[in-house]
Amino acid sequence: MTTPVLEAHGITKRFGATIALSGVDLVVHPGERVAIMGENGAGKSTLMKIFAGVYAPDQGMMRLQGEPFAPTAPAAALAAGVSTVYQEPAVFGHLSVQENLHIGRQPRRRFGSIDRGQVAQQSVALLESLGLPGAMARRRMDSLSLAEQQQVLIARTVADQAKVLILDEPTSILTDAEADELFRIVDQLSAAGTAVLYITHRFDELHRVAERFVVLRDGALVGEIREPDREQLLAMMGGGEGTSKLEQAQEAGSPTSHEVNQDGPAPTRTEQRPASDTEVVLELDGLSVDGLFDDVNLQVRSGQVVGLYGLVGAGRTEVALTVFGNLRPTSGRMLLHGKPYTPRSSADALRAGVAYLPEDRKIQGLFSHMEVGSNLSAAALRTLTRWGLVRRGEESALVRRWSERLRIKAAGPDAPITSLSGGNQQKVLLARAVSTEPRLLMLDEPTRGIDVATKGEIHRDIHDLTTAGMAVLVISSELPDLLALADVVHVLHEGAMTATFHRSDATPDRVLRAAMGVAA
Amino acid sequence: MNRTKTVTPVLPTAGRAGSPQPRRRLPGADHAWASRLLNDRNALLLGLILLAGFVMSLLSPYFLRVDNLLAMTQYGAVLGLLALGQTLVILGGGGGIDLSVGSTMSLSGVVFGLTAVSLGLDPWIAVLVAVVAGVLLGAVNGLLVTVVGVPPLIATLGTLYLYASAALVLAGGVDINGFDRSGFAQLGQSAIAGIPTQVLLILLPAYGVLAFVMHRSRFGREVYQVGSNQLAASLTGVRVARVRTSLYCISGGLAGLASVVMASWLLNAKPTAGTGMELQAITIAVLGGTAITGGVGRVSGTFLALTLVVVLNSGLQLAGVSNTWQIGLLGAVLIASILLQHLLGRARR
Repeated sequence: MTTPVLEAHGITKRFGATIALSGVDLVVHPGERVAIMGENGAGKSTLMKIFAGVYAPDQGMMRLQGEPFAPTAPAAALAAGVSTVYQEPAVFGHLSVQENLHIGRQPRRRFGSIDRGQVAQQSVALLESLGLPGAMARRRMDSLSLAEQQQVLIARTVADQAKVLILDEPTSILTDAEADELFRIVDQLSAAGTAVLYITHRFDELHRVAERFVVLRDGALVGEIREPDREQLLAMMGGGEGTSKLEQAQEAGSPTSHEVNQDGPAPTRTEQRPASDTEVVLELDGLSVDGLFDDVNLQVRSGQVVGLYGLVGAGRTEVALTVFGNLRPTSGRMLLHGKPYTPRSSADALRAGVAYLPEDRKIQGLFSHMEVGSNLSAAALRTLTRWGLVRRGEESALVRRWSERLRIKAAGPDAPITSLSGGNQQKVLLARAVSTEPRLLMLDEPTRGIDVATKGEIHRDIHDLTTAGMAVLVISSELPDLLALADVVHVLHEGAMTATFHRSDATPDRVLRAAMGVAA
Repeated sequence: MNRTKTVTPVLPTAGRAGSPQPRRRLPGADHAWASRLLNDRNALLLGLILLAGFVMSLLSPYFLRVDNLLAMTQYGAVLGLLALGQTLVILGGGGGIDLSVGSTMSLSGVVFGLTAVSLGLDPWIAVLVAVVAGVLLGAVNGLLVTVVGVPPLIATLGTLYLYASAALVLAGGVDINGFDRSGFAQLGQSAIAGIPTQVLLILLPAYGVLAFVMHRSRFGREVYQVGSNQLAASLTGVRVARVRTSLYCISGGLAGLASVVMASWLLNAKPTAGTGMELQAITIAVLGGTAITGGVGRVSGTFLALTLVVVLNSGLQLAGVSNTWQIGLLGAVLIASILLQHLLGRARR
């Protein structure tokens, strides 16, 4: 057997009183692709950050290619050959791709000036070696899509001669087609001998990304398996305590399984769905915004979940933002409860009974300096105000009610929002939207980057809300999720609606084809 | 991001929207007061005030006399009003800052003087005119920032010069004298129960109103939301531009009020009265714990910072330390207080 490229023994890390990792061992060989799995807070990211030199372990030792490895800073880990590509690409947006590829190691001329010719030449060669278009090199980084930015960052790790490449939930921002492209690149790197450590929450891609699956739970190594057996992995991640998590996860991951409630089997969704006799809450009639989307027609009924699917940039979010009053339609019209509806701001939309959960939790959602309570009540604040003053009793009642209803795990309403896990932060934002008691709820990527158990809970919450008569419009890039949730799926391709599927005839294959603009 | 699970245990705090700094519990410190002292910027400021008072009382035997303590506060009224306005503008985020407060004060002071002396109107009507002038000048800043989209630093730098020269032009380059109407001078020169009138009747009420508004009103909550994340605020129905414009108006109005206090104290309106005061106001706001990036800070912090600065200035004056040292000391205190908080923060990790 070859020398392991990376060995870690007995890695322990504490943050204050919390033990993030305890005695974790991991051995990775060159060219190996290893998936690191676990629920939120299991210690995956902490372990990766220790490899990447962001944190120093409190105990334990590491070896890189047989040599002791104790990076004191990210730069040291990078120089030693451990490169990380994080979930959201960290790039220099105002610089060109080729400049981004050469940050920190520009080829010099004799007197120290940067050899631009060589920068360009090397960049094109590098991109093309990964099967990417060489013409990309001259583009400005911020003109690239997130997927392309990620590709550039991966190309950069090749230039860094990375021996170990850490990918932290790389596909959570990608559409399925873009993910395929990523898998191709990863395969190529691994074939060339780079070891790949891969964090993901998506079961459907496991068999594509790894040949070994390592599971962490509560900071400790639970074990590893060589087959992506979903049941077995879930059992390892969840700790085998009861079956509820497993069932929720199944529900989240698989469009065909029936919803199972802890209290007993719930009726299947198809039985329960009112087909077409409830009130039409939202109707879009030839809605267009120049340059973003064109001629969108759809209806959302009370008690119905309508899905909007499409590749990133297809115009899904823009449709929601138009309904939420943030974009002006250039033609077509919107009807709410059958009446013309022309919101001019989010405030107008909220007042009309429309709520929106934005797609980017951190950038569009959280007030990161504020507490759980004031984050939750933000959208409903209007209704909690009298004489310009916030009625605190009503506010805390609202916060308590929704925290309980959505099972938000927080130290209390006064805990900083940043002290919550990502999944619970997302629940706070969901509570923010639904606490306005909207007639129409629009959810943009409601389960992005969330652990399996929380995802199942959020699915169940959405289901409960629709049962109570809410009309829900869901935008998601995760096709299995969308198919599990939606009664009707509309597909957008480059701003145009290409297909509409009913629950019964929506198969992943057909929806994906429509999203990619391929005739079915 | 779901993986950035901060493992920060949380202190049970009093649950105010106005106390948004995340606090960390000290390892081993189970007493709430012990961690408060090190975690809470207000507690730190209070400690510094006591320390400064102690040192000053050693330097000068007069320092701790009640009449001196009260007289000291007189100097704080004008600066305090400007610093409170500045705090709100900075809290509102988006690079918010009001460099024009000093000039706004000068210009509204001249407007006040012209109304009261040249037009001969009742001084109390002139007070109203001056405050309204301040609000309007603030509105210009606010609209430049929110509607035109000029970065606050540039917009208010521009109006700093505009208002300063307008004040000089309007006043004809000289001080406006001749306020001797009965009653008016009372505001700046008298005291009630030993407390200077401008502190008791203007600064403290202004502080009280602002503290209440920031803690209890929806507007106050919206200021923190806008300062913390303007995109999220707008998506929760907050009218970001309106909130920010209001903050500049409030800052301008407070500067107008400050100009009246100044004029009633000196019994003249100087067209250069506010020169240089904008930077002192910013210093006090930041010293009080307002994050320059917005969203974090409290008006009570600004009030404590003002107290600290007033204690230092008047103590040094009593001790016969030259004026030239006082400004330097203010800078040193600002940097030291930030350093201290960083060091304490690091020791806890």
